[in-house]
Amino acid sequence: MRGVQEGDMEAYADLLSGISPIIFNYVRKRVYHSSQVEDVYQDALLTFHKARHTYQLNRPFGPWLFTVVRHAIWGSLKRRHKVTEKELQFETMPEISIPEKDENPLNDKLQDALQSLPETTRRAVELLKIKGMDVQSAAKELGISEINLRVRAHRGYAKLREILERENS
Amino acid sequence: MKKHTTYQDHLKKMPDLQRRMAEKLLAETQPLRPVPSVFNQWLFWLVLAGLGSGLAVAILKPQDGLWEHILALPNGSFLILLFIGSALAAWNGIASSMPGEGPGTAAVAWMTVILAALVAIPLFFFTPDHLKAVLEHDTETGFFCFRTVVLVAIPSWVLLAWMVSRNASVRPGLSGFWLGISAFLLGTGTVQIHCSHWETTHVLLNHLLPLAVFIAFPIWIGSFWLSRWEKKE
Repeated sequence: MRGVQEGDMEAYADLLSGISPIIFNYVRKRVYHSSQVEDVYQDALLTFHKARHTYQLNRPFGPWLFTVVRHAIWGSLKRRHKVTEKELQFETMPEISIPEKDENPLNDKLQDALQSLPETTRRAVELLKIKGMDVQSAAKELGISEINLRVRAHRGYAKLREILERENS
Repeated sequence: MKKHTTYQDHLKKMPDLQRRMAEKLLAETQPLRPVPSVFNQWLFWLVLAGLGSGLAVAILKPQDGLWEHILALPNGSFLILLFIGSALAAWNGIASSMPGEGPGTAAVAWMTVILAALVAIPLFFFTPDHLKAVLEHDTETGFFCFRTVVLVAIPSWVLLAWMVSRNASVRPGLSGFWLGISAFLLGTGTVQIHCSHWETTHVLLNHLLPLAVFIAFPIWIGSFWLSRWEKKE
């Protein structure tokens, strides 16, 4: 560890080749999900690397190392648990077929329905839903107020729904 | 002739994942200065805390008849326990920030005994006084003792926390707790040298209550500040 603290790469490589399998096995025994073992192992080694300045050369290495590694495992699992809690997890992703552009009849129908709308209403729908602009920018582009734009867009949605429902039935 | 091994030779023997990780760490290798031992850090704190406390006493002025007060067994032991408690808590705080160093069970047990004694001594051995009279006196002086304990404790805690933040605390909240205990006991001891009120309610309310009221802050701040070593790139 003296060489490691002095920045000797060979000493560090020697130490890492010795402790890496030990840490890996230590992590593997303590981490339940095998998919997390590699990530937790990497976190453990990084924590060891960041804490190496606190090792006292006259003290035993084992207790120091395993205190750091235990802490790293616990911290890593805690962080991962927090992330997992916030995310919606799927065991398997639902299979959704993505139709080819030409195969989707709705596109043509939607296009026709859109063309049948009055010019002012159609422009409002196009800017908001096709170009994906926000209300403020779209209103600015059309030179109308935001409220006016919303009204036009809602009229357009209602009209589109009506046309599409009629065609489907 | 023995072949000279390079660090790449060590890496070649390692499995892929471990080798990649080792290469990453080796790329960031540079000489670093090891932090001083727990004892040396504690000694450094002791000198600075002694100077700080001495300066505060010099500004506040020691109470009249200090020696007569201290020679009374409960008073003397209370004062000594305040400073011993502060020193032991500082040791525990520093040790808790060094992986594999403790604090040990004995140090924690002693600290618990000292804290219990610091509450028990004024409660059972100091002159009883009335809460109403204490509060009236405090209102007149603007809670002088309470404020002074906090004012002495803050720089002491900041100094300790700065020292400890350079270590690698694996339980930063706990380290913050020990450092908080140390700082507030130092503040109480300093004020106790100045304040001539050796009465139960006054001591509990003005000298020891700041510790109980504000101990959450060192824990909270400590849990962020003392864990910054992990966030360093």
